[in-house]
Amino acid sequence: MSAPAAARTAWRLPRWRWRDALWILLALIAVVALRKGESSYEQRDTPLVQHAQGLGRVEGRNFAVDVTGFKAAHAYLLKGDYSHPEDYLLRTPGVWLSVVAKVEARDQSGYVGAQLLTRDGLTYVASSQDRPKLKGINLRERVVVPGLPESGAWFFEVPADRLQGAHLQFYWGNGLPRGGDSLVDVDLGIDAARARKLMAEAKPVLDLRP
Amino acid sequence: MSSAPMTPEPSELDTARTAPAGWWRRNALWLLGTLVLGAWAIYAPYREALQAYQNRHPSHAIDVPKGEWAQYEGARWRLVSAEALAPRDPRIGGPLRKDAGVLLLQFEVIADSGTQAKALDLCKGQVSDAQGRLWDANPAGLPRLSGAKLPNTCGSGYDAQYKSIIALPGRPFRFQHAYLLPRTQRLEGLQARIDLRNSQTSKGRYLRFAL
Amino acid sequence: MANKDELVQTARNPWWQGAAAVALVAVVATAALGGFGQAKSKPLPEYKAGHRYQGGALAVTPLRAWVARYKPGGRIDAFNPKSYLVLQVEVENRTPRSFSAFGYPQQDLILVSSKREPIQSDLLMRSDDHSVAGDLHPRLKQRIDLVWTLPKNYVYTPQATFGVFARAYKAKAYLNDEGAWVQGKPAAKYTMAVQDLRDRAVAP
Repeated sequence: MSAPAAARTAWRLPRWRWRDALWILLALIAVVALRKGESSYEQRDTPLVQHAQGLGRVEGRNFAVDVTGFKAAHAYLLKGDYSHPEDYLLRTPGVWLSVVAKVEARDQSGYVGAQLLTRDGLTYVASSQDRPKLKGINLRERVVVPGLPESGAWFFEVPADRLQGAHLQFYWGNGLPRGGDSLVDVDLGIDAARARKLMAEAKPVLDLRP
Repeated sequence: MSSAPMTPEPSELDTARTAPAGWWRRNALWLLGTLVLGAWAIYAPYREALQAYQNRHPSHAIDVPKGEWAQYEGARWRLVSAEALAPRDPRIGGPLRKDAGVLLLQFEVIADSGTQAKALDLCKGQVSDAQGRLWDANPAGLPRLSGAKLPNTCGSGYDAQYKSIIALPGRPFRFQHAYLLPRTQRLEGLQARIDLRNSQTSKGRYLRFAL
Repeated sequence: MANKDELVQTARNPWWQGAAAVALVAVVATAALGGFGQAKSKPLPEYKAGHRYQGGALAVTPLRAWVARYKPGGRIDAFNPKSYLVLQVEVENRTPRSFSAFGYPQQDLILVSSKREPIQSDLLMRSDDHSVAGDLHPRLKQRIDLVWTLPKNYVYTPQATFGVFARAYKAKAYLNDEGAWVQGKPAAKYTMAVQDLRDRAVAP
C-alpha cells in the first residue's frame, strides 16, 4: 500500500486511539460473557420430563406404562436352559429390584426403555434380556405394537442403600433417552420406612422358575 | 490503521452525508447478490433436512384404488388380496396371542426393465388405521404360518419348493406381508402401505392401498 | 513477494534486527537447556495385585491371573485346542450411568505385550456365574474375568504386565459440544504373577 513511502521515511508505530482500545475491550468482554452463558449440549438435548407419582398408568409420547408393583430380592433362581442344564442362581453385587408393568405403544411399534434414577443422580439401566433370561417376561428390548399391550417386568441391579428416593423413568427407544422426546419420571414414593420394608421383605432367593 | 485524524474536515462532512446515497447505488449489485445467496443459504439446509426426514418418514401418499396397478419406483404394484385369518384358522401354525389376529396381504409387483430385485427388497410394508396407528409387516410376534409359501420381501425370496426366486423385469412377482393386529380392529379404515424410503428417487412418496 | 531492495531495507531496520537477536537467543537457550532432545515420559505408577486404582470412569482391582486351556467355567475344546490368559479384576463403575463391560472396561484394561503394545481382551465374563459380562451398574463392584486367547506360539512367562488407561469426563468432547468419557494416557501398570493351570483339564 504505502511501501515506497515507508522505504523513504522511518517506520512509525500507528497512533493508537483510546476509543479503539475501549471498543475492542468491550467486544472481548461481550464474547467471553456470551460464551460462558451458552447452554451446554446436555441442556439443549435434554428430553422433556413428565412427572408422575406412585403406581398406575402413565403416558408418554407414543407409549403408556402401567406399573403395578415392585419387589426386591437378593438373588433369583432360574430354570436352566441349553447353555446350563440345571437351575441356576443369578446373583448381584447389590440387590435385585423387579418392577411389574404393562406396556403399550400408542401409534408406532418399537421399544420402551426403563431406567432407575437414584436420589444422588445415578442412573441404573434396566437389565438386559439374558439376565434374567425370562422370555416373555423381561420387558427390556421387547417390541411393543399398537393395540397389543405387553405384560412383564423390568429388572434392576441397585445398591441396597440407594433404594430410598429412587425414581423410575420410561422413554421411547432402546438406547439413551432422546433429546426432545418424552421422559416419564415416576416417583415410586420410596421413603426411608418403605425402603426398610422393601429390604426386610427381600427374599434371599426369589424363585422365578415357571 | 490510518494516521489521519478521525474528525472529518467540513468538506468531508458533506461527502459523508451524501455518500450513503451513492453507496447504495454503487453497491446495488453486491447487495442483490447477498440477498439471493443469503436466502439460498437459509433455504438450502432446510430443504436438505426435510429430504433426510422424508427418508425416515415418507409423507406423500400415492393413493391406489382397489385392484388397480400403480407405478412406483421402477415397478408396477398391485394389492391382490387382503385376508383376516380367523383365530382358529389352520394356517396359523404357532402360538397366537389371545387379543391378536393375523392379517395377510398379498401383493404383485412387475419390475420395469433396469430395476434390480435387490432394490425392491428394501421395501417396507405397513398397515395404518383411521387414527394413524402404524403396524409393521412381519413382526417378531407373528406365529408361524403354514399354507402357500410366498416370499415376504418385495424382490426376492423362497417359494413353496424352497427354491430361490427373484423379481425379474416384466414378470409378475407375488409376495406376502403378514401383520399382527388387535383382534378388535375392523378391516374398514385400514390401508396398506408400501414404500422404498431409502431410495434416492422416492422423495418421501409411498403407495397407499385401499383394502 | 518481496524484492531484494525491500529485504535489504528490512535487514537494516533496527526493530527487525532486535527481533532476530531475540529469536537467536531463544533458540540457543532452548538447545542449551535440552529442549530439543527426546522428551522423557514420566514413569507409570506400578502396582501389585490387590491395589485399587481409580482411572476416572472405572475403579479396578486386579486380583489374580492365570493361563489355562479352558475358558473360565468351561471345558477344553478337543477339536480346537487353545490357551487362554485370564485376569480376574474387581471393577466398579464410577460414572453416573450403567455402561457395557465391552465398552470402557475392555478398552481401558489391557495386557502389555512384550513389544510394549496394549492388547485388548477378547472376552469379558462374570466371575461368579461365568456368563458373558453385560452392563456394569454405578457403584456396584463386580468381579470380571478378562480372557485373552493366546496365539499358538505362546511361551509361558511367570509374570505378565497389565495396564490401565485413564478415562476422564470431558465436557465438550465432540464437535457438537457433547460431553463424553474420553480415554486418556496410560495411567497405571500392574505386574502380576501368572499361575500356570495348563495341566488342568476342566475349570474347577
